[in-house]
Amino acid sequence: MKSYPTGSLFLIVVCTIVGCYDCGPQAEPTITLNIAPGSLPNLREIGAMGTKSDSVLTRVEFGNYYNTFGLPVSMLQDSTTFLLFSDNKSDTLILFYKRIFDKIKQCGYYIDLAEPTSGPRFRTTLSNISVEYNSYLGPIMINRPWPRGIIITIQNP
Amino acid sequence: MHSPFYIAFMISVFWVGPAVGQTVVVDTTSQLAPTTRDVGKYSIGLDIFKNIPYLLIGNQLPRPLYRATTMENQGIVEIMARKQTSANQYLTVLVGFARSEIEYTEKVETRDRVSGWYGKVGKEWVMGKADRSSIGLSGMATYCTYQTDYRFEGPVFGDYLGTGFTRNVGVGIESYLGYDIPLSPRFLLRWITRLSLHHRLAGVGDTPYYPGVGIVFDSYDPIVSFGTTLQLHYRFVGKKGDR
Repeated sequence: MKSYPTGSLFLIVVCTIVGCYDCGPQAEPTITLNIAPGSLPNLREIGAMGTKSDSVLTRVEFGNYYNTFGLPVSMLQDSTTFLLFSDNKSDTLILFYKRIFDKIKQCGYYIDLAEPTSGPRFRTTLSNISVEYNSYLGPIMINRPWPRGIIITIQNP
Repeated sequence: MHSPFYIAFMISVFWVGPAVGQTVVVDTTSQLAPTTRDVGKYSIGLDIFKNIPYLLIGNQLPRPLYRATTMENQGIVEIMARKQTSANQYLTVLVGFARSEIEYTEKVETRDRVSGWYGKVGKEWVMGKADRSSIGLSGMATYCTYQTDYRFEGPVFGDYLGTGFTRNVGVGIESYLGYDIPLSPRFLLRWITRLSLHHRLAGVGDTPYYPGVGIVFDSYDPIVSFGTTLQLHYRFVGKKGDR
């Protein structure tokens, strides 16, 4: 009987101290790539330039709905070039961002990505692309949007 | 290599030896055992204990909360002065400098280089019939810098290594109990046990070691800390008429 109020009190105390705050990846961030069904029907692999070893990040097997991929981005420069290998062609998608390395009370040192202050958001051989920038950090709440960070959506042409 | 700071640090550790030895040499003129009240109006002192626990454990302090964290104390120097303002009251001033290096293996932060100054000004009341015990209350101001190396792991594109710099400024209050052990008319050993409350006005980030406050484990702000140390004081006896 007594464990429930004790547990809630513990949680409140912990949240007061720690802040119940999402500190982001604290490592190489991952962006979300959404591909609408039918927009790239022959896509087989997604890779990137400047990787340490294998340039292929993920192999693609399409379903009937939106296909979502988590792709790492480089912390060493302000852009990452993704390569989208289809059966008979390959497309490039250069994503631009601003890297933020700083510290806050809740997390200490953190990494975050933001919209570039100048220049384009992306350059690509594809069409119908939109990019959305969200912070990777934030207080943990029920109505917090998911996923966090950068979201690229490839729509049907 | 032997900077004035290093020499002061070595004196603070080893000065206690010669001082105890002087008991025999100096204590020839005084017939009565010296007490706090009847000898002198000023004294200056040096902390002689704070570095010793670090030396005893090889200057490496493992923190219990993070398994793979070590702290290397690179010297704490504290100089203080006391002035008698009335029969049982003193004004105290303390200036300190501390430097240390903290290493982590399980965090984003890999290394902290800590360096800081602090000052304490307070008032002290002598208690009891023997005039040996005292209670003190002081205000505290601190300034310390944290130079932090950090690493974000990048398995695909490569790690990002960075260095950050933080200036911390803080204020605090400190209460302490003192116990005097006179060694001679000139030298006095003081045992000080303190309890302090510190609040940071500027600076963010963890401070596992905060100069002037001590090892603070996982408390962030405000910090409550406790400590005990020994100070060796030299008393200015003053003119003959004063005694």
